Amino acid sequence: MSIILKNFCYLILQITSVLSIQFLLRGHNYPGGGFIGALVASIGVIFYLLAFKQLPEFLIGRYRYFIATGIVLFILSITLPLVIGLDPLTGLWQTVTIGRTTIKLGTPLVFDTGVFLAVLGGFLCIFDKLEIEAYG
Amino acid sequence: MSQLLPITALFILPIIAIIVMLFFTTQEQHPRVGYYQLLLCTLSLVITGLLFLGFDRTKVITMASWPAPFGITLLFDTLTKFMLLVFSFIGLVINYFSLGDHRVGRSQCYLYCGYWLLMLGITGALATVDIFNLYVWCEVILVSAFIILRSDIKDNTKPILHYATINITGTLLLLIAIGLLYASTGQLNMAAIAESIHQDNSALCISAMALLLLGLGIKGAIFPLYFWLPEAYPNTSSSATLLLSSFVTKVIMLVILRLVWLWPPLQAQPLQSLFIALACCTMVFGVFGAANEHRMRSILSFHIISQLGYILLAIFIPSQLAIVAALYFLIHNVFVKSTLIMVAGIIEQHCGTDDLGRVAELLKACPLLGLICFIAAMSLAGIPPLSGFWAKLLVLIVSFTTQHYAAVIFAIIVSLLTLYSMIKIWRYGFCQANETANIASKPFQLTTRQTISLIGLSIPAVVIGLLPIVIFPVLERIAAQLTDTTHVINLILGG
Repeated sequence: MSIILKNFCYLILQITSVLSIQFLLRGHNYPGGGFIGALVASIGVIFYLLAFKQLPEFLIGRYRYFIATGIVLFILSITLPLVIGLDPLTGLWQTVTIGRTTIKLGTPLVFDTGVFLAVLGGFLCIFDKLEIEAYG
Repeated sequence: MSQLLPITALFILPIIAIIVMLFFTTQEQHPRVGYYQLLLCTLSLVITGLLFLGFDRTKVITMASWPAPFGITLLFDTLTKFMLLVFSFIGLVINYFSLGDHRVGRSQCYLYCGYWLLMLGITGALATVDIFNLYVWCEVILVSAFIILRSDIKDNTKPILHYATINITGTLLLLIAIGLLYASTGQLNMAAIAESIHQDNSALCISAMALLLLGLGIKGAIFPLYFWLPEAYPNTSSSATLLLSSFVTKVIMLVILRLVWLWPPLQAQPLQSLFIALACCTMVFGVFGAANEHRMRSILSFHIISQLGYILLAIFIPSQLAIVAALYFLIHNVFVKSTLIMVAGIIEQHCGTDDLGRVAELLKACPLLGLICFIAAMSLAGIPPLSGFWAKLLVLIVSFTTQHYAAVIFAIIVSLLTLYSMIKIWRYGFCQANETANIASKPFQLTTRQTISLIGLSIPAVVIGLLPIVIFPVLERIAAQLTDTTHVINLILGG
């Protein structure tokens, strides 16, 4: 495969990875969220697959852990409010101030991250199987 | 709080179970996977049992603390709790049986993953009172059904394709109906929709409800759109047939039951007559389909449809006794039909086929199997004093007292035809000698596993037949709760 395509696709993977995290983080109040973030990230992976005919080294065989971590995270976000005596999935928020920026962190973000990882893991699993069928 | 824990556990246990099962998929056939599965099933039975202990106290949970019309509300009333208990008991027995099922494909883990996904979907679909959430749970059930159907050593892609195409169409109809309902009432909560119907009874709203019922009807195998069921159910492993036939269509019926009592237009004139007519057609065409089949499981699959017709008939008759009739029929049917399908599965394991033209004299080969099959078949046909008799009698009584005489006549005819079908199975499979049968009916013993699972399924069926009194108080409690619509609506919206 040509060097131009390889570099281009690598670039796209980088851009979509950053973009997907941006989508994940803004997802609570604006369009986006864990699922869409994972879709965007997986677009990058598709381009990478097109050029290199295999998943990035560090991802091969790792999607299991993605799915497992994702599920554990969203179970956490369901049960954490229960421990305090609230209804399941209730958002618990904590404001963190670092220097002059204030960040609101909460269980919805944990939930979104869980969905992000689980969906991304699922897609990687599909791509891996398809790629094996296509390129042997 | 005391109920919140088992309820959360009900939703989290299947997810954890799926993870546990997925760990086993890497190995070909893990020896201990069955024990883990049984342990998890027992755990789920214990949880539903704990939940059922407080069956009188309805629990309303608002997800994420969003108040009722906005957030997703889960309603755990007696209906949900009792059916979950029944389903998880049957699930335990079927899973125990499936450990010895040779037709379950290369890796049992996928069947078990499918089972847990199905349990998750059932819990959600029974509990939710938000129609969009209901749609999501229906999707979960659909996906799990694909996984379960695929658990077969033979290639059954074609029937699954039928199943997928028709059911996805049903799901899309459901989605369109939900969109229309949201457009006309501005609500997604079933109780809130019920309240807004009281205020303005627009044609759009009612037709959207009819469309919603149609979507559910496709998934529940109602008359014109049931062809996916007899195609898909017999062409997979018997454990998969057992799981699907006891859970999927039955849950849809329960959802329809809840909707019918929450939304008055569904029991008002145009829709009520339409669906009673459809229920009669479902009964008749189901049983006619069965007459033409030769494989035991195909016959039984058509009977599933025919029996769904009875349940649907009882659901659409507006009286408290009709709810009792529908639920009693459903529970009787789940146990008895599962017993029969299990018998068919065992015959297939021992003889290689369950084609009635190729097996013969099974009564001599295995008397115990014959006895259990006879009891279950007669119960399904409605011979007193077995459970099927009371179930059909109740349906007949409620349709007679509400002047649905045509439905009564259909129900009686279908009942006779069911008896004919059961006698066909009994005669060709168990009694008559058959020269052309190429399977020598050499005596075989049931394995301990098969005996225990058969007895586990048939004892509840016999008990609710001989002593209906053990189950009626609960069913009457459910009926009282469902008919008290204003109380339910206040509970959901005010909870």
